[in-house]
Amino acid sequence: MSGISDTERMITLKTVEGTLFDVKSSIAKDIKTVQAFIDDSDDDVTSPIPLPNVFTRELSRILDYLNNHHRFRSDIEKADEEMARYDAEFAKSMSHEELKALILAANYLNVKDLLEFLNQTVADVIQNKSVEFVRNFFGIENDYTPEEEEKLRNENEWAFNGVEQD
Amino acid sequence: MTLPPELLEIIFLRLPVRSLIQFKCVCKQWRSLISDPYFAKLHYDVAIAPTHNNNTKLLYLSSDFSRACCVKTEPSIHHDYPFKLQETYKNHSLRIIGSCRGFVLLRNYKPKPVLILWNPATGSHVRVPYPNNSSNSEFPCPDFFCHGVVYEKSNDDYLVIMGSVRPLKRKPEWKFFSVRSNSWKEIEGGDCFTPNISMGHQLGLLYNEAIHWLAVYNGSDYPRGIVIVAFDIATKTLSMIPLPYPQDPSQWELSLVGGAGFFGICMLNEFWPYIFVMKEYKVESSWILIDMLLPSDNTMIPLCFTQSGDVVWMNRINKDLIKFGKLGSNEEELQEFKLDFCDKDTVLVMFNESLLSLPSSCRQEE
Repeated sequence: MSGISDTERMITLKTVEGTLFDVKSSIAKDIKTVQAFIDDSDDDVTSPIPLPNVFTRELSRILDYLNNHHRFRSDIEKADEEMARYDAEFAKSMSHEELKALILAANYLNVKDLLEFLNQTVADVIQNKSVEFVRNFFGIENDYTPEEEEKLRNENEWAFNGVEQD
Repeated sequence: MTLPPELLEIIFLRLPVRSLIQFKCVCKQWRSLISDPYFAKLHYDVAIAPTHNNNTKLLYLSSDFSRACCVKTEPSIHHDYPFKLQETYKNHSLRIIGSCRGFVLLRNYKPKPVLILWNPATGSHVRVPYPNNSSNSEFPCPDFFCHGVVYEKSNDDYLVIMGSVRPLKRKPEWKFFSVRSNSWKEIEGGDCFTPNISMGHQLGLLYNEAIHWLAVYNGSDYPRGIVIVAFDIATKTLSMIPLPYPQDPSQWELSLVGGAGFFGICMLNEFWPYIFVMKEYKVESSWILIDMLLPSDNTMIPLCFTQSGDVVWMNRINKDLIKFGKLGSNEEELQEFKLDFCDKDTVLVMFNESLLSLPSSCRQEE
């Protein structure tokens, strides 16, 4: 496997801040938005591909994730175990704001596996949390009147048992 | 920073029903996303998909009718959060007689017999009147019934099925009620299948787009005796599946057992039970006796299979649950589990919670 990568074609990506990243074409394949750009171009893409919605911090995380996953997949024996450990660390390393920013970037770039993993991470974080925690997490303004909210809570009382303290 | 609705929806699909019901309180946009009937269907389909780590769950009503209690069967048997029953149900005499896609079918005896299709998670429910000709005065002994509820995907409709035999009439009657059209219809060929009185009340077993009970077959093309009767949802017809055991089944106590993709029957003699499963649906020769740990007495009846292939049994006397696994499995699994708030009439059904509501054209009561 490693023999091929030495001669592999490289693609350059450019973030909002202007930072350039060189990416192997095998990695770029997993970034569907980039791959679509390449497929739509008539000639070989030699100049950097601009990503007007993606910031350096997010792109660097996404590439880190993809590079590691490619590496794990080439080593079948330990893949699952190491990948799970890496993923857990990856999720833990981010603040809630960073996690949301990464979801938006992964969504824009259409990186399916990563987006799925991040959505699951968010679901795991909020699953047993209170309504207040969730509003805070997503930066949502409560647009109910106190009476409306009280009524809705009463109607669904059973669901509020056993909520974790924030 | 907020996420757009399409991403929120993907995250919501990964949350359990209970969290989503709570999160209706986050803001109005979330409430409308979560209450959307299309989302409810998608969420249910994802939750029951084989790739999802889904747990066979059981539901029963507390003896004071104040709550519907939920039991998860894996990793070990444990209580999940109970649903609340409406205050008005406290004076009723309710019994669970079916379950389908997060709805439970309840029968109320007092003040008059009526069926209620109810989603305990959302509170959405509808009353199903008994057919006209089973009026109060001649209401038969209620235990001579086969009941069940199924979902007809092609019409987005729920069908309540009832097979009954009245004490003074020889001929059994089979009918189904369409929630969408709000009416009962006769099922043709029903007079070949007599609900088995000695088995008392029977819950139907859903499998392969059909619902099944045990009944006595009176048709001319097969010897009279106990068989499995199947109501096919698409064709709305009844058909027969022979039992695995060729000898006289009147010596045995029988019950159907399913869950986690199994279609099985438990045959209990005076000493202990056997479980057969049908490997290929409606292929008589594919019945096999399963090789697993079984209770060593005849007080236990099987309730369901779990995802890992164990069987949950209930002690008929004290209603304790116990899980038996494959031969050589962990002894710890044999711990007995006490149900909270149960009594001698407690009935447990397999249950998949959902956010689903009833078809919008029917008279739904919130």
